[in-house]
Amino acid sequence: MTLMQRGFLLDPNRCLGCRTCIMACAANKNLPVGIYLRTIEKQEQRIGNRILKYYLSTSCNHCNNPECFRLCPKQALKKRKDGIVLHDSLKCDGCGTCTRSCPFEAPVINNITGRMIKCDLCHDKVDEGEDPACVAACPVKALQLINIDEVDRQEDVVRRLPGVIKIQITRPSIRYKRLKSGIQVLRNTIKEGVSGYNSDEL
Amino acid sequence: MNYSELFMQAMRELAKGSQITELAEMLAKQIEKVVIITDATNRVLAHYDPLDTGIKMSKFFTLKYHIADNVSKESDTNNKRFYEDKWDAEQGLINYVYFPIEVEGKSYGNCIVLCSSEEMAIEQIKIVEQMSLIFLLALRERLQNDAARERFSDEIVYDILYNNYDSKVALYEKAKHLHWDMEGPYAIVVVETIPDKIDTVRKTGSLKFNSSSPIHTIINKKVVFILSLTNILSKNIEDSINSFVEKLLSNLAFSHIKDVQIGISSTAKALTDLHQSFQEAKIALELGKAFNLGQINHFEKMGFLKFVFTAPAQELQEFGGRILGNIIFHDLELETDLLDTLKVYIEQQGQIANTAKALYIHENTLRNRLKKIEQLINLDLGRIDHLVNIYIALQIFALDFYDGS
Repeated sequence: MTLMQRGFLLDPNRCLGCRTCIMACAANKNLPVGIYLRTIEKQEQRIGNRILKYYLSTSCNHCNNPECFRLCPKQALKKRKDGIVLHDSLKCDGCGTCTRSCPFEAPVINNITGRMIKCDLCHDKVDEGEDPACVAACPVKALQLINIDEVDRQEDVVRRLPGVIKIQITRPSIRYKRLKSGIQVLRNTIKEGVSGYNSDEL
Repeated sequence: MNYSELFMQAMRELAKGSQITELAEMLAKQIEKVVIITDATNRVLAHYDPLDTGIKMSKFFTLKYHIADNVSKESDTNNKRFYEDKWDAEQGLINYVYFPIEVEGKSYGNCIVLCSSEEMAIEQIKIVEQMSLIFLLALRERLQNDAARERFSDEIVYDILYNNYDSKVALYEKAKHLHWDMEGPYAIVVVETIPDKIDTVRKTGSLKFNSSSPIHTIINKKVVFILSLTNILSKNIEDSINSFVEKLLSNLAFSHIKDVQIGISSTAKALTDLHQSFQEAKIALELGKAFNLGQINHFEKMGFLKFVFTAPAQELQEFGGRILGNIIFHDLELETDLLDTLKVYIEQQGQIANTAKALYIHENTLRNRLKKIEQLINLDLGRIDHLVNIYIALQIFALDFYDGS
C-alpha cells in the first residue's frame, strides 16, 4: 500500500518572517493568548566565507516515524492515510510526554485546558480541498502544502537547511527549497572551510 | 487424448473454477512426468508426481533464467519456448525443463517438468506449451484475487498500525473476517530494500511463523510483517523471530535481493498496542542505518541510542559540540585526523595495538594523538564516565550526518 504523505514545503528565499502564518494559525484554531503552533526563527549561517540570512517557519512536521505517537501513554495520537498526525484531546491527560519526546518540540501544552495541542495541518480544510490556514495566509507563497513523494524528485528541494534540527530518524515531512545566494551574501574574512555544514544542505 | 483435446478440457476445468493444483495434476498425468508450477517469485504453487518418485519439494524452486545456451530443443513453430537445467535435489542431480509462463515480458511463473529435453517428445512439448497458456490465465486470476484481498487487508493493517480507528470492537470484527489470529502477543518486523524489489520481498516473506502465515503489508516502501507470538515462551521469542528473519533473508538471497535492512520491535501485548511496536521497528531500522549497526536491528537492543535522538535537538548539538568541538576545529585548522582516531579508538574497545593497526600508524603515534585529544577535550580516556560522554557525543555526531536516505 503506497500512501501519500502530506507535508509542508518552505521556500526560505521568499519567507519575509512576517509571522502572518503564525497569526493565521492562531486565529483559525482560536488559540489562547501566547500559544502558537508555529514558530519563526531568524537564521544567520556562516557557510565558508559567506553569511546567509533567512527565516525558518516551523510547526509539527507530521513525521513518518512520529515519536509523540509512539510514546504517548494514552494512545491519543493517530496518523491518517495521508500522513497527517492527529491528536485526540479527549484521550490526552496533558502528561507532556509528547512535547518532551518530539525532537522538534512541536506539541505544546494548552494552559487553559491542560492538554496537548499541535498542528493538525487544518485537516478539515485539506479534506475540502483547501490549503491550511498558514499556507493560505502567506502573502509571498513561501509555504506550500505538498505530497512529499512528488516533491522529493525535484532537484531544487532539500530535506534540511543549515539551522534546521539535524534529526532525520523520525523522517519529518517537511522540505525546503534550496537557498539561493544573491544579495543575502555578505563577504567576510573568515577562513574558508571552517563551517561545520555540508555543502549539500544548500 | 491429443494436445488440442487436453487444451479444451483444461479450459473447461478452468472455467469451472479448478485450481492450479488440479490443472497441474491433469498435465502430469497426461505426459506421465513430474510437473511443478511456480509463481514469479519461484514459490511452488503446485507439484504433482504421477510416477510416485518420492521427490521432496521445498517451498521454492530456484532456476536459472533464460540462458540462451540452455535451449536444447525447439518446437515446430521455431519459438524458443523452454529451457533446460539440472536441479540439485536430495536424490542427486535431476534434469528438468521449464517453460516460462509470461506475456509481454511480464513473468507470471514457470511450468517445470522433471526430465531432460531428450525425454520429451514433440507432442509432449506442444501439450506443455498449450497448458502453459491455461496456467497463465489461472495465475493471472490468482494474482488479481490476491491483489484485491491484499488491498482489503492493507486498509485494516494500516488502521491498526497508525491507531487510526474509532472502535476496537469494529477492528476485532474486521480482523476476524480475515481469519487473523487475534491473540497476542505480537512483534513487528519492518524490511527495507530497493523500492522496485518491495513486492518480491512481500511475496517471498509470507513464510510460516508459529504455525501460521504472518500478516504482511507494504507501507511507505517498507514491508511490514506482524508476527503472532502466541504460545511462544518469552525466553524463546527472540530466537523464533531471528530464525524467521534468517529464513526470510536466505529466501531473498535466492531471488538475488541482498541489499536489505531490517528493524524488529519489542513485544506488543495486544492488537491495539501494535502501532507503538510498528514505530519501534521503524526506529530500530533507522538507528541501525544511522549508526551502522548491521542488517538486523532489534529495538530492545538499541540501549541508550533509542533515547539519544528524542532529547531536545538543541541540547544534543550543544552537548556534542562541547565534547568534540575542539577536536573538529583542530582537524579543520591543521588538517589532522584526531576525530577519526578517536572514533576508531572507541570502536576498537580502547585497545592501542588494534587501533594502531586499524589506522595503519605506529602505536607511539597513536599514543601521541590520544594525548593531544585528551588535552583538547580536557577529558581522561582512562575514565569510564568520560568515555561514556565521548561515546554519546560521537553517536550524536553520526546522527548529524544521517540524512535518512
